[in-house]
Amino acid sequence: MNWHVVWESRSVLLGGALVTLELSALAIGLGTTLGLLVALIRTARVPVLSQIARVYIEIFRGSPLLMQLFFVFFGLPYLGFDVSKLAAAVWALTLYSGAYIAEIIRAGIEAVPKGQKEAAYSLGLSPYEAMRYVVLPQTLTVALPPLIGFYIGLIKDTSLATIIGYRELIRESQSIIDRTARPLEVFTAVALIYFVICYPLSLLVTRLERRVPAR
Amino acid sequence: MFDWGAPIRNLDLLMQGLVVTLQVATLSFVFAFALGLVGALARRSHFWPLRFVATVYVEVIRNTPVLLQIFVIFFGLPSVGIRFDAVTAGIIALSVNSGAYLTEIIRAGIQSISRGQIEAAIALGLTPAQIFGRVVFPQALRNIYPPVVNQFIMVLLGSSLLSAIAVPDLTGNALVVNSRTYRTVEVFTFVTLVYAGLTLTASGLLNLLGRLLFPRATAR
Amino acid sequence: MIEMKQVQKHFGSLHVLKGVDLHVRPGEVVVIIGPSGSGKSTLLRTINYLEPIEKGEIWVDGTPVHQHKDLRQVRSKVGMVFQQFNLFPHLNALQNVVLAPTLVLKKSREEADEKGRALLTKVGLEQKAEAYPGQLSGGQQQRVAIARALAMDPKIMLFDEATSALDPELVGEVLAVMRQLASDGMTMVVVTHEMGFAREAADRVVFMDEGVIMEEGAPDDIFSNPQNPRTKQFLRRVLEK
Repeated sequence: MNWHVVWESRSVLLGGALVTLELSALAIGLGTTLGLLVALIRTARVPVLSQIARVYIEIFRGSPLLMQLFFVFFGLPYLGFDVSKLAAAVWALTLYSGAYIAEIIRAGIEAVPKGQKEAAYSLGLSPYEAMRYVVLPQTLTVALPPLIGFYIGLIKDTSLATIIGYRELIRESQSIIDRTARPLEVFTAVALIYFVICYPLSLLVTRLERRVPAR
Repeated sequence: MFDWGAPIRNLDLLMQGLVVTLQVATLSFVFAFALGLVGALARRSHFWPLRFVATVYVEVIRNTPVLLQIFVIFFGLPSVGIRFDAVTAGIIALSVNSGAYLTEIIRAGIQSISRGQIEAAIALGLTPAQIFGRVVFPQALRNIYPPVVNQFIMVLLGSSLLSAIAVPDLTGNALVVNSRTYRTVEVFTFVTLVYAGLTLTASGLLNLLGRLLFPRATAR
Repeated sequence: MIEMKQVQKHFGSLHVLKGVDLHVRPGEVVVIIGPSGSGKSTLLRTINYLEPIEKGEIWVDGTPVHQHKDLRQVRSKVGMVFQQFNLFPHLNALQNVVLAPTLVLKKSREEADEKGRALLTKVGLEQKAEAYPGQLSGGQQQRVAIARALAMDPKIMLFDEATSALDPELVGEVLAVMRQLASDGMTMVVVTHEMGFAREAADRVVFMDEGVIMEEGAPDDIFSNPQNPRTKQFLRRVLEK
């Protein structure tokens, strides 16, 4: 084992980690926004839109993220749209996570007892106000553990961007390996970086899950 | 402008890929389940080193990307003299990865069996092995059936990553067909729909099987 | 105040309301009794259109509820208390009470808070303003729910089996608040199994069975001298207990 090469490449690795974090933050933010929107369309049973939402969810949950990434990265230029590697990765991760997050949030909304909405309506709240002030805040307590669990998966899934050549953590580590021929040491360091990012979130999920049934 | 015949004309190659996908996913899942069972027992063991190893396994695997795990086995291990062909490396990586998730699923399933069940079995004079095999595990299996099915779907979809180490699965062969025909949108649309159809069929059939195996479990 | 004409409703193939007529005058306390499944809760829930109806008319304070117009306005005038309390678990008692006045009536926070605390005092819970529903007993939760409904200055209060989910020793505190409201002159429609409350607090008792009003009248007449055989049978059964 030669850990020296890892130490020498530390700035490249940390730079890659930063790119991975950026990509994760973008995917989480945009995916959650899209997912919330789709969940609201489905629970409100908006005609036509909610059928489209269902097909969207089935296709993006039913096919591999890698396929979706290829589709955006190779498919859009084929249709005459220019996409950078970053844009392709963000688009694919957003569409993919939006489908999963929509189902997590929808399950959370449906877990709120019907009486809550009735009480809100009986007080004269509009459907929007009932959703915004009564249902959604309660959805959060139910949906938060699976949501954060999914975010952990999404952070790890940003690694797929390496396959289309985006310079995130794994791609940077491969270039170090090409130079140093020490794959195990470098991969161990990369694993450690991912672990340091994801493990605190995993612990948070465990804590939140323990709290929910107590309600 | 579109030529939807392109994927159809290369159907043989795509179907070969589909067969590889199904084989790799099924084999990986079987190994992963065995690993998950061992892992779950280890995590509940009274012997702490065993518990420790199992916990480290679960946490390390669940908090690092599966793509990295594939690369470690395929690109990393040869540097210490351990070499696998791409398919073998892929199956090992997917098994080890999914095994960690199944460890947690099976552990939760075992934990969900009430203490009273075990006490009743002890009172009847069953041996520890009989208690686990005849009382605890069958009930746990019923409780964990839905997440286990979900895990199989995850392995099925995750196997597409093996195209990154040149395994000729459905995704890998889709890339080949794409570079042959340059019909990117047509080929990828077709393959995406094949995957979606596959996962819908698989989860439909497995849920049906669940309803036959555990008549009351899926009534919820 | 409330005028219901030939109200009809089905749940699937079940005909739950078979043409109900009910008239409630301002300040009147009407108590609806009857066996479970008789349609009495459903009838109550049609008044603020939580249950849509298929035929008939419902007028509340001059607004045609059955035409599905100005629903928010009607609902803000009609307070409702539920069997399961339905307090908002993520808000404390005071926040539960002031939510609708600030959103619907556009009251300022200070004004709503002041009124909210006064109402919590009225139901005997001024000490519990900052407590969350999960920290309150069933009886306390139901009293917060009453304060929450009163915060909208309703012209009518509907009580849907407000004491049925309570432990027996907690029923009294909620009934006391309801009695107080009745004597303050609130227009009330009450669905309940508490015959004592019906006898003492009601201006009029309505007996429902199988989706129709079988008999109605002053509490003394209904309890001491019921005319309809179904009423007699029902009262004999519940009063025996």
